[in-house]
Amino acid sequence: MYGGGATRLSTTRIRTLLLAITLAFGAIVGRLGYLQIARGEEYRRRAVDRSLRIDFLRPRRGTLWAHRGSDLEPLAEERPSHDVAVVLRDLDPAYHLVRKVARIRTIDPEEIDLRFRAIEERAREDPTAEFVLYPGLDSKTSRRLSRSIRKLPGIRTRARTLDGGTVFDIVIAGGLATRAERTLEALTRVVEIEPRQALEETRGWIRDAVDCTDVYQGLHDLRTPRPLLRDISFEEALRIEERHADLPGVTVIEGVRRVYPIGEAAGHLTGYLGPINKEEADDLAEEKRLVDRWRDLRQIDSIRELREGAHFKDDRVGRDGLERALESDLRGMVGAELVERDVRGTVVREIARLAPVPGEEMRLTIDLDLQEAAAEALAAAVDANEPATGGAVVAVDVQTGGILALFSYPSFDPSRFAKDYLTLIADPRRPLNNRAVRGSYAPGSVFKIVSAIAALETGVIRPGETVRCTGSFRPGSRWFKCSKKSGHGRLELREALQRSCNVFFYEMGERLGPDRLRDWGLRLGFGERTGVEIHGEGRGLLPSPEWLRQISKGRTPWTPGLNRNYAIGQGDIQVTPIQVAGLLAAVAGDNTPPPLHLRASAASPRTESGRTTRPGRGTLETVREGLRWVVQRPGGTAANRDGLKAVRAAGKTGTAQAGPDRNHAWFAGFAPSDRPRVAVAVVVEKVASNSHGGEVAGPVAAAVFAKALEESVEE
Amino acid sequence: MDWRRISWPILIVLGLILAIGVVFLLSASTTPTRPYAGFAEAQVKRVVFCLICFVVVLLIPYDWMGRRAVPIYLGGIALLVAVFFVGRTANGSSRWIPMGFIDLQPSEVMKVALIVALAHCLRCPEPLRSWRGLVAPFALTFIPMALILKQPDLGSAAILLPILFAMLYVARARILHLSLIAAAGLAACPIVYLFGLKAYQKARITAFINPEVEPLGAGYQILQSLTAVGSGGLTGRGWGEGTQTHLQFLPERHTDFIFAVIAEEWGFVGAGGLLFLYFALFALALSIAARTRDPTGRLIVTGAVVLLASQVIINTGMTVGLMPITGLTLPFVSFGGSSLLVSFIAVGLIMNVGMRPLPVLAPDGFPREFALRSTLPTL
Repeated sequence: MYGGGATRLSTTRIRTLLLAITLAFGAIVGRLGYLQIARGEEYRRRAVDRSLRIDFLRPRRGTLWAHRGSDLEPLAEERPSHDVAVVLRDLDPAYHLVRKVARIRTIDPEEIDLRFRAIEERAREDPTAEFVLYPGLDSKTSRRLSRSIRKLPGIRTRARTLDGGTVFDIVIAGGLATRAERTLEALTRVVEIEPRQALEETRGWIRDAVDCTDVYQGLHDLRTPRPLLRDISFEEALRIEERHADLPGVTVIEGVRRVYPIGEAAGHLTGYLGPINKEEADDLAEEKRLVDRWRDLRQIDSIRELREGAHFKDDRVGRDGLERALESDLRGMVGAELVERDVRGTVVREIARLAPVPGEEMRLTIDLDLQEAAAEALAAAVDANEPATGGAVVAVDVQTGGILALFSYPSFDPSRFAKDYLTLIADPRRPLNNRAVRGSYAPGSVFKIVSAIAALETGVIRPGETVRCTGSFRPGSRWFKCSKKSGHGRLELREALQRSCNVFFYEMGERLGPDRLRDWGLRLGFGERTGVEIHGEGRGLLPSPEWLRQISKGRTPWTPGLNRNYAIGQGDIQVTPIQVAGLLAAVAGDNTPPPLHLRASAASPRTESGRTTRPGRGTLETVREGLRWVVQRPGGTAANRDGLKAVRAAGKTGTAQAGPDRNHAWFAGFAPSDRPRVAVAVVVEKVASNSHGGEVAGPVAAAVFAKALEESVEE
Repeated sequence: MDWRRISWPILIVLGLILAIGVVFLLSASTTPTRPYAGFAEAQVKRVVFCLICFVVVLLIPYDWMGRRAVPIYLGGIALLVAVFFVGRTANGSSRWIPMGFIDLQPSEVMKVALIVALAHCLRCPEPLRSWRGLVAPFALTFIPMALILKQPDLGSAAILLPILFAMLYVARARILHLSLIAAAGLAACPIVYLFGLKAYQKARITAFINPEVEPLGAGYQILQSLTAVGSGGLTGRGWGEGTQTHLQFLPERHTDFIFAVIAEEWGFVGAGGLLFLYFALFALALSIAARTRDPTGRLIVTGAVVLLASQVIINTGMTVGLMPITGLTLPFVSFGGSSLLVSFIAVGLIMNVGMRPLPVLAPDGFPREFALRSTLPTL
């Protein structure tokens, strides 16, 4: 009666059902075990990596300090600035969304760009209309986009039926499509900016951020203010804040700017900062590697070494002058901060921090009063001597070899460099050229100092020996004229320097020959860089028969006439003003002077020992005597320069031929002549051919001496 | 109704699952910068509301429901139709009818209605032995399925299939028939994939097979989920400490992917423990089914168990990358009113049956001792 089969069967079936559920649960638990236990470490690392980011911290750039009297004042200094920054997502929401659609749907970005630009065109004419930004999204994509759209008035999805299914169009109000354009247009009313260019630039940034392989970084970039225009004035910053309703996505952020308090008066000395090249900047792209190393915080030192050469993408680095030459010391070391970030890139907490190391505070040998006096005097001299195109002045502390002033004219203001750049490069007087270290000039009679030393040292002339000057010298068919037509009569070396007698030095040139002239030129610092801490120093040129053979490919022979020209600093010989200043510093003292330098810390006192190649005391005393006579004895080429006399200066004038009807006017000397403290070299280039070196350049040197000695009196 | 027969183990297990759910809702909705307890509080309120409904379900004798299977079923269908007219549209599909306290999701209600209807329809095993007998249950299932697909809500529609098959199986349909139908269904899959699915649905399946293809698109959710689960390790990163959760890398943290949160923060131990609780719930429920002589009751329990179990399996399966992503929630744990209510009703039905050992006209082969005990007057 009780078969029981059916009931038992269904109980069995319930058991089977439970077994099925058991198996399914078993599979899930097995999978959990695989993910969490077998591969747990790997996933843990992935999760941790994703949640961490290294933020690099800019170090403060070192200040360049210069003396003013007994105080120190900055010559170049970092100060806070106001920068115009844009939050890409808010500035240009329409374009951001367009690129996002392209990314999600992997549509050809070019195509969608074109589509957007077409809408922009039409929206400009009809800002109240709605345009289909992108048609036919499926509900899933639309759902993901709706999150970005939600908060934007002017953009929405619109459902429509297509082939029986629902698709979604993104429609955009014309006003929103042209929003960024209008914002940047409105910005032009506050600051100087090129709106089209700015729009292209910000769109480039949007593309980079949206297409960024590290999606979280991309999100971060879209939300973080990014500087668009640096260093606006406080008034401009206020006006932007006032108008923020018209400027969605535009903010003012704190940045830094490099300030050069005396500006133009030291333009070439300080140099300027410029944006870094892409190739130089990619060091910080190693972020990932850093995170790996940083996981173990004990390895923090290994990051230190990576930071040594690290630059930011938007770093500004020294492009000329001291800023460039001392770049590695001034820059400091990048700091870093390991932070936990959320999916939007917002920093949640700081995990570890390596403070940036600020750049070195650099004390320079420059004296600001002297620098300003030199700048003023040279500018006046160049401007007063039409058609002079420029000039340079270098002042050196005779005792230490420290540069006290270095100025090249025309100059520029490094603070305004970026703004003035186009004007500067278009100026035919080439204001960017640092004539003080890079300008190559024929030294003219200034080189007679070298010839005199060479002649005495090699013994081609004995002290007191005289040479007769008849006003001209005619060894062959060609005439070599002296500065005084009637001739100087018989004169010894000191008198030859005093009167700048060409014939005397023609004779010396013949007696010395090119090799000995060149040798002494080299020993006295010509033909080579002085090694001063300024970028782009020139070498000048000391010719030699080999050199001539090489450049003329053997066609032009070295002639005795070239020796004569060599000795009076004419012909192919080229020197830089700083080399001449170095020469005078060397002549002014008996001991070996330290090399020329700008960093105060590099200073070391004059030493007895040093190079054995130095001219002897007697020679130097003789030459100094000659240089004193130039200024202080009647008949000296600078004897009627009262300014120089007043400071008891010694020196040499030079008037070097520089093309037809043009001369370079030189004065190089030191003061006071009995106990020399300061050596100065001045050149004014391309003055009229009737101008004389002492008359044009002398007053500049006089002004510098006066300032320098006035200060030393105060001390 | 016999209150003494109430299943305390089920209630305890249920209580533990609910507690875990609230604890992790608290964790999932808190970000480091913004502690937020709103979801957890709302969930607690809903649990209270659902408990009232649960008691109401217990009070209505299931056989009374069984006898009213036709109006219940038709009511469910009516709601499904109504959603097209009054439904709230979100994310491109219309699934909700706003009802003030909770937005009612007719597809959820339909699951319960279908279980009751099928239980009623399948209570006599004999017709099921033939192909013809299978027409009615399949029709009963496919009509609501079609309506739900139309919303569109693939996940909710698909979950009706395991309910149907399990109930047919327990109702003693022929295994051969069921296997043939299942085989035919599987064979149709590629066709459905090619012509029946929308692009985003296809993308989810592609992403399931290889999430790395589109790591920021369709694969994003699954990659984040796997990372969350995997990074939990054996013992987890600690409650409130999961970076995937708290830095908001994991999407849908308090709804679809709450299991990933648990796995990240409590690790294998916690996630496995939760799965064990579910398993215990289903095993206890199926033991009620096995004890129940009345076919309607037994089938209602089966349907309710399969409804809950398939949601748990599909939800946790997708979290660990064993199944494609569907919008199915984790019963009692995920944040969501309708799902919570339906899960409570399902457990209510199970316990309802367990508390009512109804007299049955014993068919052939009914064991004597069971027949005797179950004929004792209870109400």
